[in-house]
Order: sequence, then structure tokens, then C-alpha cells
Amino acid sequence: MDFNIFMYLTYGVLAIVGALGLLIAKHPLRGAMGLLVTMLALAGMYAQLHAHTIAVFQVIIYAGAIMVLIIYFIMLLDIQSQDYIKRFAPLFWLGAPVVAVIVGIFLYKLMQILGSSAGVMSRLSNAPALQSSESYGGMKAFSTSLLTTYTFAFEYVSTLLFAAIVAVIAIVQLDWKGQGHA
Amino acid sequence: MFTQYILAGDGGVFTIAVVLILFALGAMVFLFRRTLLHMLMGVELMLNAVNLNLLFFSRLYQNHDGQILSLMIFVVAACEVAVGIAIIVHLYKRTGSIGVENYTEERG
Repeated sequence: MDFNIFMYLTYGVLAIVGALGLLIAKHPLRGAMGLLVTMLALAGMYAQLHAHTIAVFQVIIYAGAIMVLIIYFIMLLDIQSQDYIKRFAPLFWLGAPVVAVIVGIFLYKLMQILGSSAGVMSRLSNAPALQSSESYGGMKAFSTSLLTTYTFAFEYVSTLLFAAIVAVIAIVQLDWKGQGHA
Repeated sequence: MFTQYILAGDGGVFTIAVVLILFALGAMVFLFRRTLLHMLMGVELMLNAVNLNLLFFSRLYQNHDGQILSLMIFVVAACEVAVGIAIIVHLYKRTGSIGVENYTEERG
């Protein structure tokens, strides 16, 4: 087996294991560690999919900023342990089998439709792909597309960031008013 | 060989199966865990699954639009975490707990 294929499959399995850790672990800090494993494994998968820019952003933004923020915040709260004595909501034992059955049906149909070599996926990939595969990926094409075709989306998403900052300040002020400017 | 494998046949099925399982696990974390922190991390997991889907099909069609959309999703996730953590801190200061079932008195 090709080493790249082996690494791709390993990253996928590792991502699922990390997500299972998030679902099962009792303390939020361990769950956050599982989520961190998932994000790093997904960064590896992105790199194998020739999305090098997004892989770097995944490591810097998700694993480096967002997860550090969440872990720092868990540390800051210093939560008592009585919140975690019962792990799942009571509906878990009813809902989890339903979700598992739905996922099973989806996976079965996926194997049925796309699994064979003459399936939809191979036809899709044969048509437009692999003729220009050298020009795909990399920083130059990505940033050219981002700053020409998608300039409006780029600016608009910065507006969204600004709105989030304003919302956070509003919530913090709500806290101050509740304590009478203590 | 690697490109052929990842894009066609088994590799594609594997990728979409990973996306599906990650999204379902994120939804289960969001729905069935009892603390706000876990719910926040479940949403993050679902966003990551969607990102993987976008990048896979972006690679399949040799098109950069999926990568740019996934960058936008990064920003949305960052905003969501910032606002969510501010709300959780606020609720923790009010009730001294992050269990969802302790917030029955919050009404608007």
C-alpha cells in the first residue's frame, strides 16, 4: 500500500477516535483533548487533499487559537465535578440508536452507490480532474481566487467578525450591570 | 496512484464515510451531553466535518471555491466560539454551573 494512502486512512481513523473521545470523556478537558486530536488529524487529511493553505489555517486557527481559547476557558472556570456525574441526557439511550441507525443506512447506501469501481465517484473524477492537477492547490491560486472573485465574501466575513466582537462586549456589559458595576 | 485512489472508489467512499461519522458524532455531542461546553465543542466538530466535505469535493472538481468557503467557515467558527464563551461565562456567573438543566429560570 502506498504510504500516502496509509497516512490518509490513519488520519481518518484518528479523527473518528478523537470525536468518540469527545463524546465519551467525562471531563470537558479530556473532551477538548479529543477534539484537538480530531482537528490535527483533519489538518493532515486536508494536506493530503492538496489544500495546503487550509491545512496550515486549520493548525493555526483551529488548533492554535480556538482550541486554546476553549481549554483556557475550561481551566478558568474551575468547575465543580457534580455537573459531570451523569454524562448523558436521559434521551441519549433513545436517541443514540436512532442516530446510529440513520448513519448506518447512509453508509450502506454510500457503499452501494459509490463503492464499485464503475460507480459515480470514479466517473466524476475521470471527467474534469487529473488533466490540470498540477495547477490545483498552493497559495497562489487560492489567494488570487480569494481576492478577486470572492472579495465581497472576504469583506463581508470581516463584518461578521466585527459584529461578533460587538456582541461579546454587549454580553460582558450585561454581566457588569447585573453586579451593579461592582 | 495516490490521487486516483483518494478521488475515486474506495478513497472517496472512505472520506465521505468519515465526514458522515464525524457529523453524526458532533450532532450526538450537541444533543445528548449535558454541559454547555460539550455542546459548543459538538458544534465545532460538525463544522470540521463540513470543512472536510468541502475540501474533498473541491479536490475532486479541481476547483478552489470549496477552499474559500471553508475559510469562511473558519471565521464563522471563531465568531461562534467567542460569542458562545461569553454567554457561558455570563450563565456561569449567574448560576454557578454549566449544566444545561440548571437554566430553567432563564427566560429571555
